[in-house]
Amino acid sequence: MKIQINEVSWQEDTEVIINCKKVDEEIMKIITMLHVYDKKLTGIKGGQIYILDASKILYIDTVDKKTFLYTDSDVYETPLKLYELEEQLDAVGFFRAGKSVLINFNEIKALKSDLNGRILVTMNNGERLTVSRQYAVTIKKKLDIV
Amino acid sequence: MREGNIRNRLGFISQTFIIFGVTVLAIMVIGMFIGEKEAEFSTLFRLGNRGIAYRTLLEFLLSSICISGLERIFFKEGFFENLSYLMRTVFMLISVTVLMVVFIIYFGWFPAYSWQGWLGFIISFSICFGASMSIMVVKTKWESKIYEQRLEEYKKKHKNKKY
Repeated sequence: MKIQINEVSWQEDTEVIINCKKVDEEIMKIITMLHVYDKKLTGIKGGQIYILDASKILYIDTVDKKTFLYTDSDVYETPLKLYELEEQLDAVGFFRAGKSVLINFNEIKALKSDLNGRILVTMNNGERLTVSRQYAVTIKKKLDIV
Repeated sequence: MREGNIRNRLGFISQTFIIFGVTVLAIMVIGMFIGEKEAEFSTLFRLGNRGIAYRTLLEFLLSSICISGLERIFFKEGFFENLSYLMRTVFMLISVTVLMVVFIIYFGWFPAYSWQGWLGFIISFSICFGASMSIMVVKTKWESKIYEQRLEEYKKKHKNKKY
């Protein structure tokens, strides 16, 4: 893969042009990575590609080595791994809530303490997720409890 | 990850010493009243009401380590993660009961033939379990209230923040 960078003094917005033979999985991943920097996520649903605003994603999880993005009412697949998204989405309010899940803190509707130090999280669409004791510390830190 | 491991180890040590401390305190209070009378009957009160023997303290410490270990096995991430919390609690309760029976017989905390001893054990064990469950429920409700309150404050504070 060749990477060419042109510094153009009069260019206002950074423009990325990809020239390729075919948009394959690898190219899709590059595109998705670029979108993440712009706080956007590329989600695939029914063979269609969607550009999603990261702040509109409720949570992200991994099932069978596949990563899924959950919005209010839809589920999209993304070619990126959870760890690739974690750092970039931190600024949007996402935090690690388990080995295979990232939660958007700004989309949390309610929190409830569970036995053994776990926290039950209700998202804005009514879905409920459990955060283990190990990861509950992040929520407590965000809420200035610890 | 490393921070998590340290926290885990410290959690284990602090939990062990909490169990140990509560046990010593309970036996100390009971011993002050019935220690002299039960000195011949139970090795827990071998010094009468003069105190708890070093050997007994070590037995308590060993039992506290075992109980903390069982708690780790049943509730730590990865172990029995497919079991519900209720089932884990039931298995934990059974394991602790078996462990205590072994300790009672092996260390002679009271004679194994004494029905009064076993009755006392069942009553005190039930009271301790009931009390700890009640404390846990109250603590959970109190924590939920704090979460609710802090989340509201967080939402108000970040209401106009756009990402």
